[in-house]
Amino acid sequence: MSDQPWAEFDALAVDLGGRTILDEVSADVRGRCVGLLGPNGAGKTTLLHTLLGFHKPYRGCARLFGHDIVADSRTVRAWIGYMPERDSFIAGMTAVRFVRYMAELSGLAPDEALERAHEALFRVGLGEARYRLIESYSSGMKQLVKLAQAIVHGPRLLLLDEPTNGLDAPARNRMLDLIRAFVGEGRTHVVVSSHLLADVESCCDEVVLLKEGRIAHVCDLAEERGGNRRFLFLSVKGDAARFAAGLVELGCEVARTDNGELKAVLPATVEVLDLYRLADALSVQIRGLDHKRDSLQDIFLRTMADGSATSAP
Amino acid sequence: MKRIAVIARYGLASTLRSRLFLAFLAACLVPSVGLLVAAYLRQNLSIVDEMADIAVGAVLDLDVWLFEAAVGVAQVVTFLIVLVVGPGLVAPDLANNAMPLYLSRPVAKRDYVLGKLLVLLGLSVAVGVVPGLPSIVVHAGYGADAWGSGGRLAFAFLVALFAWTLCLSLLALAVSAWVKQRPAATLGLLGLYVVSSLLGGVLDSAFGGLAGSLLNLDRAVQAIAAALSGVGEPMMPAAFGWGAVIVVATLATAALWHRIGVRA
Repeated sequence: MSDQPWAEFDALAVDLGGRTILDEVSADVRGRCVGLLGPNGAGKTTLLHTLLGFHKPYRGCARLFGHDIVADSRTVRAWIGYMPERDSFIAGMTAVRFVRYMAELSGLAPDEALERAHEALFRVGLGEARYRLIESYSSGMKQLVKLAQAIVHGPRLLLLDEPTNGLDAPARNRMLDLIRAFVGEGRTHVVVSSHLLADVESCCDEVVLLKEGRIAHVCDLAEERGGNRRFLFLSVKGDAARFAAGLVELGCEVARTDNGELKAVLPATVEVLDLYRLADALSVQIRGLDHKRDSLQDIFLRTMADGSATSAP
Repeated sequence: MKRIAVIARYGLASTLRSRLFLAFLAACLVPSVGLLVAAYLRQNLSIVDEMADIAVGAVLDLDVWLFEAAVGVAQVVTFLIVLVVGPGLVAPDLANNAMPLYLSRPVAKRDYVLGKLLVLLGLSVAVGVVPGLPSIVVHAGYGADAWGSGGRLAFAFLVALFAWTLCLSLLALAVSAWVKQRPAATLGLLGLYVVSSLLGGVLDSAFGGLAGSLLNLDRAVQAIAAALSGVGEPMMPAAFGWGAVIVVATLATAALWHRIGVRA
């Protein structure tokens, strides 16, 4: 993850129809692929639309690559490729003509736009169908052509709003593979807005959790997963009660699960080896020892269960 | 400016793809050719009189009629072009949620509207207005002050028809932006024209004066043309005509502006 944030939000607030949709959104975003998560109505799409200049913030500001999204709106939009959530196309056009049109609107010369349109359509797997009218495409193909128009001009930032919406399992995997490939190339920052945790977990290295229009949590996924490595599940043979008491004496927090396992949180001064020494001393066998691994679902549920959302640093 | 040109170019290309539409455009030129022939005959009536020995001159007294006919023909032709082309420019984009695709690029709402407007204005002016000019210029060319009167008539013709085309185009885009379906937009535009004319007639009958005339955009444009050219009797003062044009254009622009954009 980069040291310099490419997106900075400073107390951003957006009102729509007299209702506050985003409130005091503050965060620095550094990840190469960022997942934007939150329940329905949390403000994910509004945040993307605000970055694109569709909505004006009434308070605060946001910067992309150091440029203010309001003052330098045109410059910023020239760097962005956007894949909307809903079906979006121009009727009566073949895919290649449509993607070329979008490339020209992004500033490419007609000849270059045509060349890039072909490349983009081949890249997303629509090469053979590129001369068909878009309205004749299936839902999955329409998703792919939306992706093609988003990448055709080589954007610095790709905003994908629910990219796997309405896709069957193979198409969904293909879409996620494509996203991972863009991320892997290292030229484009990607934001994936989704309510599907598995999708985000499979391709993102940073997650921004939105709740009630506020950023509830920003986390580096790898760091977050490793954060609970001192939380252990233990299954023991022998006098589990004595072993638990021994753990408490060592300074651990201990609880017993319904199936007889022990849950223990080790203090910084206690290592796993100390547990084996204790077990040896008490003639107890440690039959199983597992680090608790927080999945994105755990992080999500924990964040959503927390009281009110707070602004992340 | 570059983005406006791109939008206009793609809009025009999509419009001109249909052979049926090209045939329609060609047919739109026929009345203007007829007027040109009429203007020529008017200036050579003595030959016609001698050959046919009939008093055609009384029938074809074209001095006033020719100008008014040229304006009328251009109004009808541009109305038909706007009616056919206008609804297909914006309605499909809104129906298929294409606005986020435009506006997420360095394209402003203003660029989008101007690009689409350019398609309608370009086609209407090229096929509906410009072909009407030769008949006026040819007719005036036979007069004593050919350049002076011809120039004034041409200027009046162009200004009045441009105002007409602009209003119609904005109305067509606004109606299609609201109804989002091409056939419904065509019917809506036609209905708007018919209803406003009928309502104007009813107001005229009920109250007299100018109340009803203000709802007739074609009468407003004819009044502007008459005032600028000095030919014919305007049905209302030119200021009222300009007022009607400005009000219609402003309302249509506001209605269009309200619908073009990305909904939350």
